[in-house]
Amino acid sequence: MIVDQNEEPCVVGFLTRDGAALIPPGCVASLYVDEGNRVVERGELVAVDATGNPVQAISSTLGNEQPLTGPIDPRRVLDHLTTAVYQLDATEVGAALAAKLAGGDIFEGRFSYRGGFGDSAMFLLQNDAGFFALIGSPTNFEFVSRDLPAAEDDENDEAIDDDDELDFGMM
Amino acid sequence: MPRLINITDERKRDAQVSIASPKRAERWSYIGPDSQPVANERFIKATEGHDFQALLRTHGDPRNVSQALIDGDPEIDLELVGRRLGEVDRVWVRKDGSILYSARPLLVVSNPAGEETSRGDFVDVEATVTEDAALPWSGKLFPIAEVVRRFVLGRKVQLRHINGLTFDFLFEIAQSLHTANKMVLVGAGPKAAKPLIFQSNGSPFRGFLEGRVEGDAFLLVLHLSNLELKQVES
Repeated sequence: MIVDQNEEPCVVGFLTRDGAALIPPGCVASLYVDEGNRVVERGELVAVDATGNPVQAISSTLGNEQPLTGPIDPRRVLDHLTTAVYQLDATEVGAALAAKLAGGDIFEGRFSYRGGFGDSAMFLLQNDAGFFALIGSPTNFEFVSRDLPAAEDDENDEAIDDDDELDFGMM
Repeated sequence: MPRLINITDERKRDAQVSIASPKRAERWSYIGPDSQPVANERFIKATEGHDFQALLRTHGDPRNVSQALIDGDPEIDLELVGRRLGEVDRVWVRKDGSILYSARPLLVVSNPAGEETSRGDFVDVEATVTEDAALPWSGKLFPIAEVVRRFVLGRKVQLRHINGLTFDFLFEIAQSLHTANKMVLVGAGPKAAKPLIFQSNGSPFRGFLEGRVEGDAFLLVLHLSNLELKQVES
């Protein structure tokens, strides 16, 4: 916490480079504009992939039954960067699934909290503390061979300890 | 310039290697309804000195503020609102809206209910992961399934070679872990008991190194965790 000489807490603001404006927190609007500086409402935006083809919107998976695959190799979890964790309160678990989870097996499904244009991998597991769902995105790390060039600049150098907090969801 | 760390293998040989974070894959982008390109821009919505608290300081009481709002537009700086934000500097702002020129950081500890329990001067915490100090080989191996089911691995970095010698060095580590089918605990300090802190005042992590080999290629990833999968008190 940053305080002034009276130990009163201070807040972060933004000062424009020309010194013309001091912007308090919450006073910046994020808008989509086209090349003519016309605002395009979020509801009018169209999501496209790298080839320019429209991406289909998906619904939230909350409250909707999702298929599970597995048991999976635990390395599949290692291939993903965990971005959210949910502690689950199991109201009903099938006997077969319960037995496998209790035995240490891990299952995989898909998860999207709000819906939108992409979902994430979801890993269902159980330990001594209960049931958990780990939500993650692929790391896409590639194997390194002697032929490949040695290390390059880390484009995501800030990512090890950035300001993004892990979304603990229900925790 | 790649980011470097110094690690030790089980034969107590150490070497500088590079680390790389996962690349963020762009899965989609936006266009307008007429297929026109669009860009996300930031605009000024309000400026200091025009919110309710500032108007209250200027006019004295809410009735006077109401009258001022009827008479004019004191809540908007017409010269600045709507302008593109452009490049800015982060500053600290006091309660009265003035910029802080001499900051004092405090360490405030709160309980799970959010109530403050103590406060004191903030002491800088130094990084424990540097280019020079070699991270020791702990020798503490864990089955992969156990690590995955006990810890939240919220950060990861890939270890890469910087020359031919370090390629062989890292390949051997990966081969060893691949054969054992386990992950090795990574920590800082002479006994690998200290947390991994990658920059000053950074978050402390415990690390688990994973290795895989496919033919002549290897994959070595340091998985970082600062959260265990435990019951949360409701």
